[in-house]
Amino acid sequence: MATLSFDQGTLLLDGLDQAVRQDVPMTPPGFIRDERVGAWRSEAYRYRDAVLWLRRRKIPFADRARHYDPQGLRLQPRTGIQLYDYQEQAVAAWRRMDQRGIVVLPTGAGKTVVALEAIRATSRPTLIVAPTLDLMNQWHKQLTSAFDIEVGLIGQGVCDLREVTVITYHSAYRRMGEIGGRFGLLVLDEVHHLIAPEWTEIGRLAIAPFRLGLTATYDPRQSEVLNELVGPLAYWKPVRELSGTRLAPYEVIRLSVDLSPEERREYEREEAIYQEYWLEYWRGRPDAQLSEKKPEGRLEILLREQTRDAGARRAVEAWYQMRRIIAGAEAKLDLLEELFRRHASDRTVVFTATNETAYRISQLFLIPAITHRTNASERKTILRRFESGQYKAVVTSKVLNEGVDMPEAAVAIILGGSGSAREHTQRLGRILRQRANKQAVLYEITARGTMETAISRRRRQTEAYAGRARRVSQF
Amino acid sequence: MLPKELLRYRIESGQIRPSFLNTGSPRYNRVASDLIAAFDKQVGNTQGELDEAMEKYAAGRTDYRIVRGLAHVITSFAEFEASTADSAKLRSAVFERAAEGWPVVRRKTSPAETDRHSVLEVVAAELDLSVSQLEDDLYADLPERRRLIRVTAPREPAALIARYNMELARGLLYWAERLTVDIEDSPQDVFRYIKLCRLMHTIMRRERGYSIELDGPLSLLRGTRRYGLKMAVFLPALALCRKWRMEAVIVKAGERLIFSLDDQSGLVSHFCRFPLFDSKLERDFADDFQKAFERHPHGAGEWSLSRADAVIPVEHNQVMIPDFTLRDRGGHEIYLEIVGFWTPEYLSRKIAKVTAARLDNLILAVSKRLALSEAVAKELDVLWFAGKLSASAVIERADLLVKDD
Repeated sequence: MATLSFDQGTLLLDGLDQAVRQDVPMTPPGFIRDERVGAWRSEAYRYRDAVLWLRRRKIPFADRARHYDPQGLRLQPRTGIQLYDYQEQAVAAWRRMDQRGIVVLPTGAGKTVVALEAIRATSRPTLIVAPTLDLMNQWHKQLTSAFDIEVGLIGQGVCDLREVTVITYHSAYRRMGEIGGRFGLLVLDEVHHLIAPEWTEIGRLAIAPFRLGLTATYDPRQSEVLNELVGPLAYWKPVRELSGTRLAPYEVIRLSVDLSPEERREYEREEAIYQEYWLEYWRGRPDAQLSEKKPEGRLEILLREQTRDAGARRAVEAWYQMRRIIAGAEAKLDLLEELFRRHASDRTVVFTATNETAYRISQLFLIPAITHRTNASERKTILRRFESGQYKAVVTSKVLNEGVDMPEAAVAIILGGSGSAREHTQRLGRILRQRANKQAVLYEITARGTMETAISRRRRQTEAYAGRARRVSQF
Repeated sequence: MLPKELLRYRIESGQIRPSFLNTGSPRYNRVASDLIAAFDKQVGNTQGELDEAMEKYAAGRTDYRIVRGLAHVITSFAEFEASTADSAKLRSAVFERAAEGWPVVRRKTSPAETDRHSVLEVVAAELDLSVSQLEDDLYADLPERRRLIRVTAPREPAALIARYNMELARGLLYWAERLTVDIEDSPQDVFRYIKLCRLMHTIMRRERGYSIELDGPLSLLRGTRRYGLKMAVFLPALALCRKWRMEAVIVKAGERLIFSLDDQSGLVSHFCRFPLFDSKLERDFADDFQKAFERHPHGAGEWSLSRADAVIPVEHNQVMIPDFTLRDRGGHEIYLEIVGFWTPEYLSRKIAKVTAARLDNLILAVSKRLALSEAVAKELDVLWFAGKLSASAVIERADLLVKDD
């Protein structure tokens, strides 16, 4: 009899040669002869097709690849899962696609609830893959409160494998070779991450016949890989359809400050070194097009040149100094203090460009900081206390950038950050979460007459922002 | 292994070449010895201070990547000690207290606000600490606040540079999706490390030595860098050989590049060789063979003996490396596998492995040390020996096997 087994993220099909007549195709699709072990091998995600292929041909086989009992999971929702219409439609559409496919909903529209209902309906051991530690913890919390079971957790040093387990993309990439046979349903949060070449292996190395991808940003150009590994687009609801109904309205207030005379002097000294380099650089390249001279491309050139040109090296160092001066500008801290006063009773999140600034603000205003170094339990405590209102403000560097739920946050203050549009959408998403009668405010503080002004301009060119700012003020 | 931002290499017509440092370079011997001294000086200081000293040393240098790379190698030998303060507890106490009086400000403008210093004073008093101690310990658990206590890196600048070169080569292998190695040495140690690194292999015999393709289960189906880390870990094992070369396919920014190295590349292994003989039994046999050869140059002289230089692939990605190979002038090869201590299960597994290898030119010599029923003993086609295995018994059996041909 043929056997199908799971080997480090691949399937091995053995003993097929005796089982199959010579005149029919030899193997299920995607299987290749592996002479190293003398059997047929494929990637684990072809499990479903392989089983169907064998059954259709009435080839008897022992299934040793599936390391879970398909009837073994008894999920008891603690309370009924309440779905909005569109969430119900999303789950129904996904189930019609043989429980494989992608659901696109904007940030804040309750993707988690969709997944909970899908897990309940499928009733298979489930692995939920989340891009960040915060999201991982958040899924864990929601699953624990939704179902009457112990929920497993793998990531950041924790390894607790259970029938329903939450894992980070990072750990999933490393561990899927061991655990890829143990789950019938794979839920991929922020599924657009899966297209990164290494991370596609998370989808490839799991046998899960059922798959659900969730995202707010679905790019049809990436659909080929996602279609193969997760399934077709099952449901899509664009951002604008939801605004005003479920998402809190918000306003954007831009504030700018001046550097202190001392900071300004230091900034200008570094800026001169930086500009001098570019003057020289373009002087040596009289044929360069204007489009090449965009500031966005500059850092890339510098990083390339700095290993052979001492001037470029100095320019890079100057650039870092400029960033440091802007990030720590005294006037920004004064203004921050003023905003804390104004919003003393609002839950406030401060975003900084660097960990260094996050820790500085934490120590100055005695508020908790969350960075990638904050360990899981402290992070959990901070978020819980923030939610309950025990903490009024938290400061964070880039770590909270992806869809972390802070439903109580009413004020966001951006003290600096990169100009990337995606980062900004995510930051906005966080304070857009539904909350009754909330008027969310987003402050953006930049240093006048510095490179930050340009970053801020780029930042505004995102869809979520366009035409939505109600008020723009200057101090 | 160097992280990718510190890797230095050249890409030219599809080849990627690491920019190794010359171990004799006066410039980099100087840098290496400066860095070793700088680390020594930083013992007792925090990692933040150490990093700052390194940044200062590298400032304005276009070869900062080399400096940082060498420092990275030394850091991998550095031991740090964390502060004993329970910073998480202190933070929790401070932030809770601060939240009660929120907003906390540096200069009070109204009674509704709380002055930062007063929060610290209250918490410090409760915990029986000074305010400055409390402020100092608040984030003492950050990595940059750990103290350097010991550095066990190579002291010789040239040795440090050699290790740097190894870590540079390993850093490139991290991106490898396949690796082929050719060796002419005894393959025993190499296969021990292949097994330790849990790599899969495909072996081809060459005129001299073997060519071994190393990868993992998934490699057959798609290009994957999943096993690059294991290949990088393995590299020093290859550098233990006297005659070797390797060719890896590196995937970088979607492009496939060839990365080759050989015994002339100057890599120095820091891995250990296994002892030449696994047991006294083997060593005694080799000695006895040597003596037999000396005594009867025309007797044993038909045969020469070499230690574990043949690799026979068996099923399920395993290999058998017989303990010895006997060769005669007529080109015959007889393998000898010696089993000293054994249990019946071990012996039956061994025999199954030999059977799977389908070898008719293998002598399995088994010690009679343990009682085994006569019936079983007769059933097995093995060369029994008591005490020491004598060279003449083996040569006799080898002659028989050749005659059977």
